[in-house]
Amino acid sequence: MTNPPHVDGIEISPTGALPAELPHTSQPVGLWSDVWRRFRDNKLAVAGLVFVFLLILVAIFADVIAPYSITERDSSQFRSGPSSDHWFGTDLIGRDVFSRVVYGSRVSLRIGIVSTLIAMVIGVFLGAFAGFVGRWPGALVMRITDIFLSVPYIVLAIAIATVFGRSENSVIVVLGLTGWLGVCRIVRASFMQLNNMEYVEAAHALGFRGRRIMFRHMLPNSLQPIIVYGTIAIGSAILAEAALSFLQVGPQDPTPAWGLMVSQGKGDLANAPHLVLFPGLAISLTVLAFVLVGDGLRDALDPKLKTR
Amino acid sequence: MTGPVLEARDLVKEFPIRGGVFARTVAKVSAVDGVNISLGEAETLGLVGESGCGKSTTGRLLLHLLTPTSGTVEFEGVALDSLSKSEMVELRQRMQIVFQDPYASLNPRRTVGETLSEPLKVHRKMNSKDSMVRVRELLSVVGLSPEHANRYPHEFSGGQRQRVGIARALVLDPKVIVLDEPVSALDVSIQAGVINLLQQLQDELGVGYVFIAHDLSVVRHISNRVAVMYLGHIVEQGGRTDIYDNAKHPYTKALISAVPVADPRRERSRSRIMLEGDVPSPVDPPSGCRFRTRCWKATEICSEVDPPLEDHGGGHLVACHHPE
Amino acid sequence: MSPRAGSEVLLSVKNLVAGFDTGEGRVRAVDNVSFDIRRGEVFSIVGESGSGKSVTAMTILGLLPTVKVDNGEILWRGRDLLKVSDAEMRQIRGAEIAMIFQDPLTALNPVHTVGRQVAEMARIHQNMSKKHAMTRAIDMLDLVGIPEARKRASMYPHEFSGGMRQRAMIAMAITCDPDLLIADEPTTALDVTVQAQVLEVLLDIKDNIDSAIMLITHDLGVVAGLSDNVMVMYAGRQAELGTVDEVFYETSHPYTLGLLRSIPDLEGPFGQPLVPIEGSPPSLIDRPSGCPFHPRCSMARNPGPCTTDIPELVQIGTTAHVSACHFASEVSVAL
Repeated sequence: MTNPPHVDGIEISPTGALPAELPHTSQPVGLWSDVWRRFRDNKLAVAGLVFVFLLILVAIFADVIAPYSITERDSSQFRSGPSSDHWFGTDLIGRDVFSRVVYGSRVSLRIGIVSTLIAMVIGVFLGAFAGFVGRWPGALVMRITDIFLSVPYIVLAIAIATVFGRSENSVIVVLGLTGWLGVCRIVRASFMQLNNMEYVEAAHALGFRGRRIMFRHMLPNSLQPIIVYGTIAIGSAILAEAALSFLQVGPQDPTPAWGLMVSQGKGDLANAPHLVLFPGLAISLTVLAFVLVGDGLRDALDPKLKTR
Repeated sequence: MTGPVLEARDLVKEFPIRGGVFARTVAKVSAVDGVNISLGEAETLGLVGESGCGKSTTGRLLLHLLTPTSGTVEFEGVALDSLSKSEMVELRQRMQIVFQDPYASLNPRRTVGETLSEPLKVHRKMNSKDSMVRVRELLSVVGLSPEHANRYPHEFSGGQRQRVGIARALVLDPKVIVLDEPVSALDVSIQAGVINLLQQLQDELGVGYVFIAHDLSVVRHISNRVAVMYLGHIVEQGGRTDIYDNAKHPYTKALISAVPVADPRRERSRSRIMLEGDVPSPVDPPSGCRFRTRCWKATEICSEVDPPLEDHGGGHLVACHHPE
Repeated sequence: MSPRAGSEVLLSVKNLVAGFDTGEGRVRAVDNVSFDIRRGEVFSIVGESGSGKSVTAMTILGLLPTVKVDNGEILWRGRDLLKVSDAEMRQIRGAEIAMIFQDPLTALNPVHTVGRQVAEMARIHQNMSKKHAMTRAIDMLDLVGIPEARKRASMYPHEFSGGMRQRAMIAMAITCDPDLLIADEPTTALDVTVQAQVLEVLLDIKDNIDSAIMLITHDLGVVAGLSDNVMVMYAGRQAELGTVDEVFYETSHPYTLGLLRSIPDLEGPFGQPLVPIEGSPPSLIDRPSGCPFHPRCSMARNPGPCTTDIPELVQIGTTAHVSACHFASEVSVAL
């Protein structure tokens, strides 16, 4: 060697004659391309993803897709079934159901995604803290989650709606404040397990501070359950929003929240089933799609399928 | 410098066993029960024993990765428990650890280069360019190719990963490295290369090792001094020849006699000391001398008094009522 | 310890080739392996990870459903195990050939008492009544040196220590008086003092029931102390095969030599550096051409047959000692 390596000015001779080639290994674990390949093979999951994708498109381009506005009334047709003018029919005061369902996607997605984001942030931080620190602070956090568990979100929603009025934001706040429990537990469990990993011990030994270890070393290795949980959480948030809207604690008319539309139409189920059917289908399919994607992600990320 | 680099006195570490609804402490396990260790400059102290003897716990206590229930650890004369958090962070640079499992000891989501350069960025405030120069040097030093700095751990073999672990321990120029079973998980033909590397690094960098292992042949090869542990106690301690050629504690003798040697004729002509039974549970250790339940020399005093470590000459310490 | 001259050949493996499919291609885990085991013999298969030693053993008993045998015969007392029916194989497993695994904690069922698991062997294979089977189980536990066997029989595996569990597994294996015990790394997970005990038990049992032992291990010390015959495997192929003295003292394969030189000696002089084998074990998917060991071999000739021709087994001297090296005769000189 022409220029032997130095450490602290001391010349080091290369040790042994270890050839530097890397051994052949099987495909790296958890690389996103691999995850995507496995996900792609799962037809249901792909179907769910396609639906979610379409839904987002619908929400973005609602102005173009919906033929009518959400308040426009057709005075000639009240509570009429599907027709060529009104694909999903009209509601009690003549508004086009199809357009309202289309615009409703914005409501659902906005509430679902934002509230889930809030819940995830709270849950991940608290869970990471509880799992990493452990002992009494961790136990304290878990007791707090237990307390929150005992509060049904519906009651909380009613309370907040009464005090602060009905709106999309009040729903987002409620769902955000009650939805963090699940991910908190998951992250805590994951961090507790990671605490025992030797590379985490090594980080301690190298004198890294807690924050760095938690967020740069442990969190990236906890991503998988978090992503799966988050995806499914969006679905359940949308379902919860639908429930709250149905109970008339969510956004008010004329906001085309799907749950609210179902609530408004339920009185006429016998004569005008389309008023319940179409928003109801929208809710079901959307929630199902998110759950399928989440399940598919979990299978694609499943450690049991990984090779060394 | 005078005095040992690392010194531990009367180290005790108890682990609580919790039970009941409120997770109260029901019993205590004394994993380490009154251990004294001293490590000189550029020296290797081998710490041997079987499962449950407390050697891994001792290793972590020495680095303050675990806080002792009682006892002190001093690094270059400074007591570790007297330091503030930031002082400890500073000091950590000089005492490092290498782990057993080459697969779990590296963060799978970071490249080898990132893992090695991070300590430089955090402690030495180096920028990316300078730290990568140092990283490439280190990889070379441990016998790996510097071009592989941007690869992930799973792309390396077990032996190579262990070398990365050693490089990580070297990054901040430590004075002492605790190695916890560093070669046990490697294939036999790979172990030799890593052991040679460790010896070479010690010769060239003057770093001291606390070498924790259960493989007596490896420990004999690499250590200057050896301490034998049993159920949280050091039962015998001394130089290499003291322990291997001149063992005085019955457990040490039994341990050495149990190690199989790759020489059929010697194996056939050996007479082995067979111990009765298994290692007792550390939750409820025997009274008096902990080894007495398996010792062929045990007498009444052994069940009443726990023998202290006594110097049999030249630093050869033995804790036995009936040493050879 | 040596088998009586002319004793019966129990197992004869001929040209066994077996492999399995992975996501990236076919892996040939066992590549043209042949050996015999006689009654009363201890036959050791030595190798490191990826050598194929465990797969060989598991294939004999047909315990790996994903492994496909491409070629060869496994003759057990004259019958080819690769051709017998599933029912016949089940009969042979446990009753004629028994296996002892590395980790007794996972090999024993945690929800059944130890006694019951040992007795189960007698009940299934020998159709014994519950009472007789339990008596037999207690006898077996006693035979392997478990104190207070009657009391221990009603305890659960987690109440046993590692050494005791391994003894219990041996008891289970010998309940039906098998003719061959396959022990796959039986002491690797045990402390060294316990290992010595368990190996002693194995030898006693072998003499007691007049069976043979196939010992699979990576520990050359254990091999030296126990074996009559040794087979060294590398990358699925046989590297060397002979009596234990021949393999250790008349080493004729560079890999065996490399292994012997890389282990620290408990009694040798201080200060001599170990001699490692360079490189890493080969990938079984991306095999090197010619001799699988050549990239790491200090004696490999390039250009030469090492890189192009897979070496056949050549006889060393006049005995059954063979080695798969193009330059086998030169290895002993290097010692």
